[in-house]
Amino acid sequence: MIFGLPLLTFFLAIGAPVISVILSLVFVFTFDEGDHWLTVEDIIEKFRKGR
Amino acid sequence: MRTIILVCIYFAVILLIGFFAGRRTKDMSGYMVGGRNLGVWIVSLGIMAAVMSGWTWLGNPGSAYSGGYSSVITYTAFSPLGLVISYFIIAKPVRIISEKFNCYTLADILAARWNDNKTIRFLCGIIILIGSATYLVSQWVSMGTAVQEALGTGYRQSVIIGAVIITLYIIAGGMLASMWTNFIQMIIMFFVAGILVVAGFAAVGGFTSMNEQIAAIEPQMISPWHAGDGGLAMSFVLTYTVFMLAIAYGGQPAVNTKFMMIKDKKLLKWSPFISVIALIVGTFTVYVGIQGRILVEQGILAPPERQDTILLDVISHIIPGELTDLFLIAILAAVMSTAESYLFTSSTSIIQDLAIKSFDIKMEDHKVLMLTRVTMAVIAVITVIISLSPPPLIALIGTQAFGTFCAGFGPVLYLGLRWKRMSSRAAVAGMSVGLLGGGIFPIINKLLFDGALLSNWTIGGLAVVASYAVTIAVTLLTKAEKSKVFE
Repeated sequence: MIFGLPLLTFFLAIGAPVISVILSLVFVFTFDEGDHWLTVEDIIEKFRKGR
Repeated sequence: MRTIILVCIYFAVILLIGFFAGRRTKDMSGYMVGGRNLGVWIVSLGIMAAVMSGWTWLGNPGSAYSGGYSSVITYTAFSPLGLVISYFIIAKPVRIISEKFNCYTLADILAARWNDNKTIRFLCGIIILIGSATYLVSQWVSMGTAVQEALGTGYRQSVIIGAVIITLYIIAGGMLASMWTNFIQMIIMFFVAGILVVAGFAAVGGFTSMNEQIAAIEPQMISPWHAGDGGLAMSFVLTYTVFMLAIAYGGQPAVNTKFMMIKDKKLLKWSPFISVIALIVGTFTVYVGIQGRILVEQGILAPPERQDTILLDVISHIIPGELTDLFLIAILAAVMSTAESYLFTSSTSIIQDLAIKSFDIKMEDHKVLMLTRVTMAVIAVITVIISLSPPPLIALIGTQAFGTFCAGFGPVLYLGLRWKRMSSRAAVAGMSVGLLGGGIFPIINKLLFDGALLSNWTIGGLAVVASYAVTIAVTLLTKAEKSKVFE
């Protein structure tokens, strides 16, 4: 029991919003300021080159 | 008397903001997208004000009063996550496309993506019109109740007073007025929600004590899915929170159209952080429902006549008398900010998407602007008349609007802006399935089967999944089309 809550309830009620805040900070530091935006095709291309 | 004076001051301030915005608005771009020149704080908080409606303040705590943590999880767990995901996937493309192709509405963005496809534009207009106009009716109803509470006027006068104020400043100042007033309204909501959440936890002895007390009252209340006594089943919680909120949140026009307005796309990187903090603080008012239940069980509060009024009951108990007016204004702000946003989108959708652009009517900008304003006034009058005595069908459609938007636009936007191969036929198929599943099926289900079909599921969430599946399948089955937005 965390703060009187079962683990799953605690994760969903408190953990999920906290993860959202962390992700929003990830967005700040990974934001590409150029005019291009990543597409599915770009990801596939990168994956092929990587292999 | 003090309440009436404060509410009148609030109305006067937002009217002044609206008219000041009107003086700054000189052309179509200014009226429709604030000249694409708004700062990061205005956009980030403006989005949240438009999203947080009376439901956030009254409906969610009411649901938590009987559902406990299953309601908390349904309405708050993944909505911040869904918001951040929508920023990750669609914010930047929407901002760039809107500037490059001079887009003002969501239909403009989707039409630009698929080479001015008229079917997509028309379908988009229909979804927005059905969703926004009916949602607007439900917001007028909530606003009538809030103004009634604040001014002590009758319900009908209250709806008319609120609607006249909103319509005046939106007609005068367009989206700029909407965003400025939304910003002020969100600031009020943010601080009031913050005070309320802290005071609420203090009233029940803190977070741990609250959980222990509510578990002692009814152990299921601390379960993430609480299927009995008005609670929510696992299938309902998961389909709502995962499918509608996490992977289709950006389908709401109140969110996606605002991405066009920021003055520099580089500023977008700060926007999700600001928005998500505001959203978390705002949606944490849901805990007041649980706190209210404890206070009722302790005999400190009388059981509410309707669950939806539990937040007002808790406020009257935990907040000093002279501050309660501020809380009333916050609720008014929540309802008004959402109503103005949907008045704007429904009117622009009719005149610009369904009439002028779908039928290629050539018209000078100032005439379009004038027609948009006239349409806004007409829509306001029609929806206000309906809301004075809302037919059950309109109210029902209004409650489905969120699901209609998520299913109708979420998959098509998320996939279409990031997957070059996605064809226009896939977009039409995905939007049609979203509209049918998220908007029309729940109504047929209610009218013909009394809501018995899929009653333990969020139908809008299932429609999101169906729309994703159909969009992907049709894309793979049809030929790819070149799109100018990726060039």
